[in-house]
Amino acid sequence: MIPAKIVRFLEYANVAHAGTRDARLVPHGHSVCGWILAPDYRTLTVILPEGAQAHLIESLEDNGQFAVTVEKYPENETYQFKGHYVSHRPADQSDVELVQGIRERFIQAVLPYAGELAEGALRSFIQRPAIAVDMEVREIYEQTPGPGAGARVSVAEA
Amino acid sequence: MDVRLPAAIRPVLDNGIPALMVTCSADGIPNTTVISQVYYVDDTHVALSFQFFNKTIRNVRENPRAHVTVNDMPGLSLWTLELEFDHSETTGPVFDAMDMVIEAIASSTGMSGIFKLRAADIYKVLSVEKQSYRPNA
Repeated sequence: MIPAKIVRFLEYANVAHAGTRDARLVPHGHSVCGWILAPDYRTLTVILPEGAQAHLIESLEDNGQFAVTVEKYPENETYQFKGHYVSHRPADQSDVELVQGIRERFIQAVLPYAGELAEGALRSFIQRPAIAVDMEVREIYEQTPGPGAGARVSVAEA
Repeated sequence: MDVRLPAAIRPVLDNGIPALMVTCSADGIPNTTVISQVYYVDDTHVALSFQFFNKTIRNVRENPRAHVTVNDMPGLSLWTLELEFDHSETTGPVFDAMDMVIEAIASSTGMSGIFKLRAADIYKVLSVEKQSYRPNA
């Protein structure tokens, strides 16, 4: 079970990125536009845009390894979730609405620091959802910048 | 044939927007992290900072491949770089330049004394690709 502190974090975080690796151990990065924790507090649904799909399903179906870093900007509070691929499906209307909420959180957080960046550029950064991947979270790591980064967060058995 | 970084990526590397890095351990576990700086060394190499002996550093010494994404928000695009770790430098012009930037970031974020450059890790560029964002309403 994912600890309550991390459950709350996932509800206010505003940006994320995912990683897979292929059969030759070559790592691949994937933009992420949304995430939501399932009621079992163990399955994380990660929503990705169309441009993030190169090597994604091919790698997940080869070896199942999936890593997702989620961050709350501008505080840089960051956690990495590691786990195993469960399934995937095309994004649906509920994903579109979820991503819209994350996009608005991101814009509100970044706009005061964005300088010359137009709101439209920030809005486009969190892209439209195309695919949703379910992962079983097995490990969580603290990744907020600093010497404590890398510490494992306890994930209790149900 | 060597892959060469296009001139258009240089301002993106310098834009101050954090980059994303994915590595993989020898036993096949991917690791994702946010990195503050991708330093242009020459048109076939970049340098990444080694500040803490973390999972990323361990991974690239076990398995030299890395994937880095740099964002060009004003240009509504991102660039993906496939990299291979080549060597570390603890002195010299690349190290000195990166150290200065790390110190500036540390000072502006209240992290002086915590962020400290241990080495400039030099990576060979294996591929570079630009992707445009699809504009949102």
